[in-house]
Amino acid sequence: MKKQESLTNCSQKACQQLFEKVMDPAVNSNGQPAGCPECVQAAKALESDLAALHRAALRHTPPMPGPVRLPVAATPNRPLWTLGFKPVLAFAASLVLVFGLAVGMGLLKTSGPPAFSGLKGPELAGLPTGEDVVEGYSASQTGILGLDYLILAGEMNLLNNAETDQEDSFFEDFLDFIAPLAGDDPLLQGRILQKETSHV
Amino acid sequence: MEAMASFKRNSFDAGPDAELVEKARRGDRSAFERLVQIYSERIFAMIYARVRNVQDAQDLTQEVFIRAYKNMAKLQEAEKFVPWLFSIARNRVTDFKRKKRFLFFLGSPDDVLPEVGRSDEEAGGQTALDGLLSREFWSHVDAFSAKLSTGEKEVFFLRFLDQLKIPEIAQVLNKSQSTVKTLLYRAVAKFESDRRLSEYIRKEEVS
Repeated sequence: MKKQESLTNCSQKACQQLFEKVMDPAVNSNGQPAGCPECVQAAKALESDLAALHRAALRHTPPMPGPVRLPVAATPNRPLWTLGFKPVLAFAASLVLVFGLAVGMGLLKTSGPPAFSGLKGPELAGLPTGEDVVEGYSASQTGILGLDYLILAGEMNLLNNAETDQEDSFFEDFLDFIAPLAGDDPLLQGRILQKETSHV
Repeated sequence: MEAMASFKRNSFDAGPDAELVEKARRGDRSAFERLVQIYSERIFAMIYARVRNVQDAQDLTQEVFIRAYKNMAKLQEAEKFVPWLFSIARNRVTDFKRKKRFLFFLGSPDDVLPEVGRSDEEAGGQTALDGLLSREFWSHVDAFSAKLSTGEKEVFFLRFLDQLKIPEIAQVLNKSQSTVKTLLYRAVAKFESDRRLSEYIRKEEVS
């Protein structure tokens, strides 16, 4: 042990051990190390002072006002691998159930074009526009997507009542998007023309 | 109060019951509750010596045991239960003091000052004189510990107030035993050279 501040001026090893034993009774447990009488007395005084400090701290510590109570709901945290098979199975089953419900409710699309996700223009909604749609999607998919927009636009009543800049912008986006989708379909072409004319 | 001190001395001598700890680790609630009975006064005393408020010490003791209960599975060796418990308590005290300092900066110093107040005297069933003596004692302890570095103070308190052994202190502080011994040696040298605290205690014991 590196000595930082001297407890005794005595250089005898036995005397130093005396003080080490005061700090750590486990040191030299074969018995009290011999030392010079002065050091023995000083070590005893120090030991007595430290013991008195402990007693005084106990005296001046009030008793606990009440016992410690574990809440009924408190349970030990246990690692997942110690929980056994049943909880793991239940967790896996609940995951499958939640995923299945999400797919069933249409919250997660497993195929086809992405669903329209907000009342913004197609680009802002993160949807493919124009020729991307035509190239990347089948005719039936683009048709469905186009009709989705038509329905949406109808619901928003924007086609016939574009009054603000935002609505105009949306309508332009809509036409840019929907025009290529019509393709050769005379029904869709006619419907777009009708809507465009009525808006202008 | 003497009876209380006697009870505490006895509980301080009780070693970790490896079988109880092992049962508690396996989730046996009653075994853990028995450990709470054995060690709660000791942990409370350890926390009180650092926060000096009965209610705060009681709340922190409660938190320590709840945390210990929840994390029993993380305790690797049953014989390290005591230092493990003390390390949880030490961390809780550190967090508590940090929070107090933060509140102080926010301007609510009423919650910050560590002192033995009237509520403590009432909570502890102390008379006004007991309370006065306690305040005086702890102010002497504070005056002495102000001369120690943070490490020296921690080691000195854990060794001589909380009665932990050197290897246990090393585990609580996550330091080597030789570092703990060095810090302890410095602290004890300061305790020995500054006689005011020990003289005060001696006078108090005589009276």
